[in-house]
Amino acid sequence: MSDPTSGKGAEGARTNEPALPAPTTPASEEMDLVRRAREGDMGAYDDLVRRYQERIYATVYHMTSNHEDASDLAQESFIKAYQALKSFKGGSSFYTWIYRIAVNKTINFLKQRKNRTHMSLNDLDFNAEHDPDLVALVSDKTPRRDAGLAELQEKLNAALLKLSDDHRLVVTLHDVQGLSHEEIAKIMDCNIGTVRSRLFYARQQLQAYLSDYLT
Amino acid sequence: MSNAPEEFEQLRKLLKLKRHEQPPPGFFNDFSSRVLDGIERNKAATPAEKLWEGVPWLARFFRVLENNVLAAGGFATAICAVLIGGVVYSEYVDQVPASSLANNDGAMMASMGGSSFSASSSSTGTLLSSTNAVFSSGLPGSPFDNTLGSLSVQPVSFSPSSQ
Repeated sequence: MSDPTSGKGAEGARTNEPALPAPTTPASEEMDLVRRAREGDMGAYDDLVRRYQERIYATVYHMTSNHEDASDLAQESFIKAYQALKSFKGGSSFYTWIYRIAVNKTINFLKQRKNRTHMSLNDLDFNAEHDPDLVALVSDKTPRRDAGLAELQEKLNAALLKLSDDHRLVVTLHDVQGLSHEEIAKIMDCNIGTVRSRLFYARQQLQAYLSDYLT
Repeated sequence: MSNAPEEFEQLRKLLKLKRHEQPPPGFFNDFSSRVLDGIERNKAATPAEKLWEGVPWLARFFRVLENNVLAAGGFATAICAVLIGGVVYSEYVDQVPASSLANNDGAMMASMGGSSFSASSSSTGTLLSSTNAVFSSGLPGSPFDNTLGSLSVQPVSFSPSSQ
């Protein structure tokens, strides 16, 4: 994956069924914030951080399955982005650019950590218990009917951690965060065919790991 | 290869569970201020600290030393061993080539007819040792030999004048 701080990246952001809504900020307004931040206006950068903090944190968290690591990496990504702001030429949206920084940082972290994984999972929100799809999975159809949502969450995260970093990233960005193939291709600096292929194999592997919990 | 939605429908439903994982309440309230603090700290960092951050493996290594007494002791022992080994090795390197050089010189001089050199090759080796600060020339015909040979030690008595 290339260095996102070079300023190369995607134009615009389109999503399929986004888990977190795509940024609706007009590009000019965002570029104005970037320009002000580059000139040293910390308030402008504070605005940018607030806009994207949840999305960046979520991506890193789903990649690491560890809240503390995700918190540190998300913060470091924003700090690095600020330091590299001068190299951001505006050829892409800030959204895509910061995504690439966070993704690269996370993948580097995971490579260093190798197999020393330690899950520190966030709690499920109140809505999980009322999601009809999830309720169906834990009560009616699965062979493991006794599995509760918490157990399912743990098994799902463990299965995700068995995937390679690239495969986990594609599943995270597409199936969890709802980004389009095109946008993922730009973030990962590869072509759309590669994204589709990785997504297919990642889902296939996940399906095998989680067969006890799927009909 | 197909990415048809129905093929992985159940899996995709299960993956929706990930969207319900939320960080502790209030986590994002001060997130941006922590980022800005980090930026300010970084601006204030000395060049040495910046260099430190630029070499993460070194920072990790020293963190391990800080947290693990055994590792720190082992590292200190290794450093001492390297230093002592270095000193011993330098002594060895200084001596071995000198004697071999002396032998070579002696052999060469002998072949040239200089028998006195071949006879005193071992003392020449001592002479060439760079770490031996006190040496005697040992070479026959050296002007110092005569000087030293003529010197004699005599007892000296000193009595202060009576007052």
